Amino acid sequence: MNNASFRDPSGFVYIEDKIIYRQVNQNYKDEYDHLLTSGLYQKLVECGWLISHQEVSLEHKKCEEAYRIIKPEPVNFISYPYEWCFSQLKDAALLTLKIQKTALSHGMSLKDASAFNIQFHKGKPILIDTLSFEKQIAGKPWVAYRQFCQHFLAPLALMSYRDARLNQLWLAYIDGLPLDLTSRLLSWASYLNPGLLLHIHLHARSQKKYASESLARHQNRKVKPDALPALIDNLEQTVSHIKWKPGQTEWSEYYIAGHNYSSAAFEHKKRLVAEWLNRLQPKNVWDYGANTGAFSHISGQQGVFTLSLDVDPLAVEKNYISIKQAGVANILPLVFNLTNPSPAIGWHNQERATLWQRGSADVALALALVHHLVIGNNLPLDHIADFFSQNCAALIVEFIPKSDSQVQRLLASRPDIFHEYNQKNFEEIFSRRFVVKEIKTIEASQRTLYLMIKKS
Amino acid sequence: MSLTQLSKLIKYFLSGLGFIVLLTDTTQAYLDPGTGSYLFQLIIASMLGGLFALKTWWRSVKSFFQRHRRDKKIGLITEKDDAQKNE
Repeated sequence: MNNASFRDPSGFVYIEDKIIYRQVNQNYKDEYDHLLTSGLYQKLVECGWLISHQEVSLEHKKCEEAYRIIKPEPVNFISYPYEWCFSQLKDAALLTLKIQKTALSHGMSLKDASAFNIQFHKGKPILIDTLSFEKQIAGKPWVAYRQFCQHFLAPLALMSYRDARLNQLWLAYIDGLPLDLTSRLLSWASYLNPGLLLHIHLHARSQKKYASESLARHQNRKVKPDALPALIDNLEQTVSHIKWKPGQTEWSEYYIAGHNYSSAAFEHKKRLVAEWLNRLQPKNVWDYGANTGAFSHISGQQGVFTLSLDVDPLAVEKNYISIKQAGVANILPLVFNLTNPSPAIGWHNQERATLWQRGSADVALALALVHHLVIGNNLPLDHIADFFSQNCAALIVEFIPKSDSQVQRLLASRPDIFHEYNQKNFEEIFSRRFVVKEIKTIEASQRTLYLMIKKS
Repeated sequence: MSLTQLSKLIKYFLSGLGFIVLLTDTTQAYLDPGTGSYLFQLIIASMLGGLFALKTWWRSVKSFFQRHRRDKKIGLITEKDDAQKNE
């Protein structure tokens, strides 16, 4: 059984011969049949909102509980909400609400609203949990209302009203951000937003007030039939109106400002990367320190699935908006700190995996990155070479000498203790793990680009 | 707004403020809805239902006038038609 698929008794996900299956249990029979016969499944799949699946033989069943075995369309890469930028989380929230609206019109409702159930597939968010629906009983409130507010509204509000980096609170709160904490952290301005006043601040107070009260006493209370669509409509409006207006960050303006980067150097670097990727024909590329994705777009254009990783939430936001506007399907931008990567979290540290447990890179791009790791983070070159040799088959890496103004900028506030940081050492250390196939000086710059293949 | 719509609207608000309605059902979901969240939703859903009805009514009024203006623009309605309506 998949380590993230044990909470819902309706079924579970498992992998057999590298193929993902989902077992639908007998206790979910009525709901599953209703999903298909009501036309909801077809409608959601046609809209591209729910992952499609095929039913396969029960020979694949994992236990006697099985009612159906389904084979969902595979998703290129599983990502988590703490790796998403503001607009990715917002799009995932709006999709969840659109699905809930459609489900209600087909006599069903989402029984959970977990952000982990949404993935980015072909450039767009999609629900991957086929068993997330239950038949809607007239007058029953939305059981996932609390979860929706914690998983979507709370982090979006904090990112918008406080700081986009607060999305990292997910790592401490795997079931979404507690509303009382969110309410305390939000600014007073958020009280002027009627949606946030209602769904975060007053909601948090209600949770506190009834914390020790049993739900059983109140389960006979119902909502009017028209009230539930009204609640979803209000949540949709609240989410739509949450905007993030960030200032400029150091990295998101990197290519625009140009710094020491002439356009001739930039174009030459792009040509080299395109040529080498074309030669390597990888199945996937992981672009570390991708910034706004200028080089990820090269592999994307070659039809290669590309993870575009950067530590700066604004750079990732710009990258995501650009691929969304251009309709690019094979680039996934994620917020990712290489010096403190997404850890394995949840039950037994196995519920949510590290990046490398979720996939591996045929080609890693490390462009204008190594000097940050060495000088900005005191990482020895040996550790960096080790890391890349363990996590990719081929590497396109750039070396920037100390004389470059970017490196000088890093050294401006500290003594230069980085005596090992020179091109000769770099080549020697990386050559222990890689076969260097190409070395090219980037035109109109002091920089050098390397194509390396991991030694077998 | 018709009398029926108005009474519906008032009913929503009153039921929201008066803390809701009685019927029966048992929640079977695996997810804990949380008592505070559940009760809060019961209250706000009824009030939002009222606002939603108002919003829907306002949209229909707006689209009526927009349609009217458009028809007038493309000549489907003349000044004469308007005058006849007002008589």
